[in-house]
Amino acid sequence: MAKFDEGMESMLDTYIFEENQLLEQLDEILMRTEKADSILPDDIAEIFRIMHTIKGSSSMMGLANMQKLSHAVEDLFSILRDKPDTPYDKQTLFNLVFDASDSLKNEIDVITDDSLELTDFTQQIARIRAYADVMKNADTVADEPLETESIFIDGESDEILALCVKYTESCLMPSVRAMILLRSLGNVCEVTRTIPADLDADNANDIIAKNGLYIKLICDDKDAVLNTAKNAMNVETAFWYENKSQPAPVAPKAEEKISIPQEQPQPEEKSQPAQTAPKKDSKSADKSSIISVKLSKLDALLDLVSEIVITESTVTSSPDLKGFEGRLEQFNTAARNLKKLTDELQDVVMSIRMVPVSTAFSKMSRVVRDMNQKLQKNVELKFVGEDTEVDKSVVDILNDPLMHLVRNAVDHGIEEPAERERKGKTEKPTVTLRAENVSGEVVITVEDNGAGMDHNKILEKAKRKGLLRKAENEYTKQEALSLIMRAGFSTNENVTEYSGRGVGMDVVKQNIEKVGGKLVVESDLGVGSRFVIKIPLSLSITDVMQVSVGATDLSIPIASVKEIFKLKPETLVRDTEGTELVMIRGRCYPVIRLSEYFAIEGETDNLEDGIMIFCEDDHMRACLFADKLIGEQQIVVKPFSPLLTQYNITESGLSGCSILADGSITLITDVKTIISNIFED
Amino acid sequence: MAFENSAENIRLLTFFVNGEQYCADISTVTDIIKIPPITFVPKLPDFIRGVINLRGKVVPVGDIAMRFGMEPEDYDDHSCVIVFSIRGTSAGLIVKRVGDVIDVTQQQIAPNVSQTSFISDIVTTEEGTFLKKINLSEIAEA
Repeated sequence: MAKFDEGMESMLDTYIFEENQLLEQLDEILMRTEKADSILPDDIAEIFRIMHTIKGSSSMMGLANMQKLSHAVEDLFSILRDKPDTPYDKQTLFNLVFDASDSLKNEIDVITDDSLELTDFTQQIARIRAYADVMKNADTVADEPLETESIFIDGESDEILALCVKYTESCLMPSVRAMILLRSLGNVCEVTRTIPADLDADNANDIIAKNGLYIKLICDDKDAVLNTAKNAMNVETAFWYENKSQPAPVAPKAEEKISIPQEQPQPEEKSQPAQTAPKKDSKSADKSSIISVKLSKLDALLDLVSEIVITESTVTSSPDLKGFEGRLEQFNTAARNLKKLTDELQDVVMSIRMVPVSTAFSKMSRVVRDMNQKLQKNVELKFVGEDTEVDKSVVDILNDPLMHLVRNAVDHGIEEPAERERKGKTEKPTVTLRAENVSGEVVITVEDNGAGMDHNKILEKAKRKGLLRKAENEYTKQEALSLIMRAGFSTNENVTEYSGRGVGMDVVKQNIEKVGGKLVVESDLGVGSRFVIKIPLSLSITDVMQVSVGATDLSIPIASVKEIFKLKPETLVRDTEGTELVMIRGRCYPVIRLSEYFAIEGETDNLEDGIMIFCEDDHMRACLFADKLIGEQQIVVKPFSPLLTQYNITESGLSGCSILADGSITLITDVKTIISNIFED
Repeated sequence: MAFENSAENIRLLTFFVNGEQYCADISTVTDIIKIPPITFVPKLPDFIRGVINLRGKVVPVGDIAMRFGMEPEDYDDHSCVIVFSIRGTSAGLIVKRVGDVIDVTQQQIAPNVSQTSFISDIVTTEEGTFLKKINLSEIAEA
């Protein structure tokens, strides 16, 4: 069964995008206000508005559970908004809202995951409702008399007709449907007013559900209006409501008068809109200069621009020009200008995809806040350089590793308060997230001033677990620390809620390396630990070393190339099974002949004639043997077509391809896969 | 330049493999190009000859004769790559010769019930000859 209303699929992307944005905004307000003594009326109004919007759009999507949950939270804040002096327990209130925010966030993932059922929030809603009652009872005030409004006003023109629309009982939020209906009615008639007048009001739903919606309008084509209304979503009936002296049976006298939403002129409230008004203005001005674009469109644009850059160089360096005898002055000037412009174009397009890392960082405030609540460590999270801009895809990749590192830092890194006191550490327990641009790389550091790691203990444990690959005393401190990123290593024997749940540092490292990044661990015992993530600025562009094997052009990512050399015969060793080994600075590394591995006919079989590329990837080292070295190049990586990956091409050691300036195609090798394929055989 | 097929009429592209005439629904065909330089990609089945650069896109190309389990033909300047779209990406098939584009009606197409080969239907032309119809997407799938 579909999770949301039919005909709403097209809205799903927008819905999810908006919901995520709103919830992030909500978290931000909550984080900010939690530290303060009281919630300002502005913030209450903002939270109310966010919940109201979520409620509205969820019901438009037909997501009843999310609508009800956000409705409950909205009510909670409407109490505070209407009567700011209502006493409440801040912690309880915040926990309820944080929980609700989390549930809503989870639910957004559930919507898109077909394997999951929508969550039932009944209990959570009951808890919120219960607390709302507590708050209400603490300050009971008699219901204020509601103003009323009749359908036909004396002196109103006869041309104005009254259309009555009744919604089905299953309709969650008739007021939202009513707004959609009004919009579509705008095409066929002119709406003068509606009853209830304010469809956005809190009680609008109840009124419409009970009495129906009355639309006062002027039109030429009555049938068109009626048809539009009848065909609108969730509409049960729609008919012209005649002005009879006696009330029609559909609207008994008591209901003819319809209550109008509370615009109670409370003195405190009146001052509030005045305060918020200028703020909202500046916000809307901000918003109008920002548009959200689908990432796929930007990707398409980036692809296109890369092609233009390549085409530009194919045109200006066309072989046809070489034989041309005449003067090319004009052409050369134009070509230079073209090159300048295309370069600029590429820069601009790249910059469009750049977002500040703060989007990834700010999510961590929430993580630390929750852990502080549970662990009572009172850790402070500091940001440095959160304005640093990185490619959108980099930010997406950073989320998980950052979460993991921050959790580790708070859970394992920072000591218990008593422990800190005993050690005489007076400074506040702090986790610092730092971002900076260093020569084409983004460097993200997660640093804590906690206990630090004892590399001797790590070595001991790695030894116990059989993870050591050389003699214990040969490990440098740095190498020892790196051991924690090995699969099967977890320093904490006790699995806690926050760490040790099977996803270890090795996964963090893998995820970062998958995108061409590096993870380095530094630590001083007693002073703290530092995890440094280095990721290329843009993921689509990679530096490679181009080599040739026979007629095939292969590219090896520079990140995994350690050195390139010609083989000296005296350094070649053969073991008993005939495996060729090369001696490099007192160590032997296996030789992998790329021609043999890929079953390509190479130009030479003689190891001395070709070129040796000493590679290291994920602690696996080997010498790759190719015919010739072509050079170093920056390339735009293109993944293989799914028609090729169905033949397991990526598992065989080719990660993608790229089109070079001359239009030819180079294949990108995956050194790690090649080496592990050889070793496993 | 995809052609719309109506329910009744179907437009087919004909081509020759080892002297025999085959045809395929033209609606997914996007390009018919001279054989460009092909970059060999190792570790793939033999019939996949490699990848080509089609206006900045890397498109895998296969040899139709080898896909049928026959010997590859001698291709010349008049041989072509038929580029078609499948599952949102492109693929190419090398054929010795491309023939005419013909319009047939549903009645002229008889499905191949045996389903032991790539031939999905047999098309009877107006002249009364038989054409073997293949399904391009089936050729591209493993």
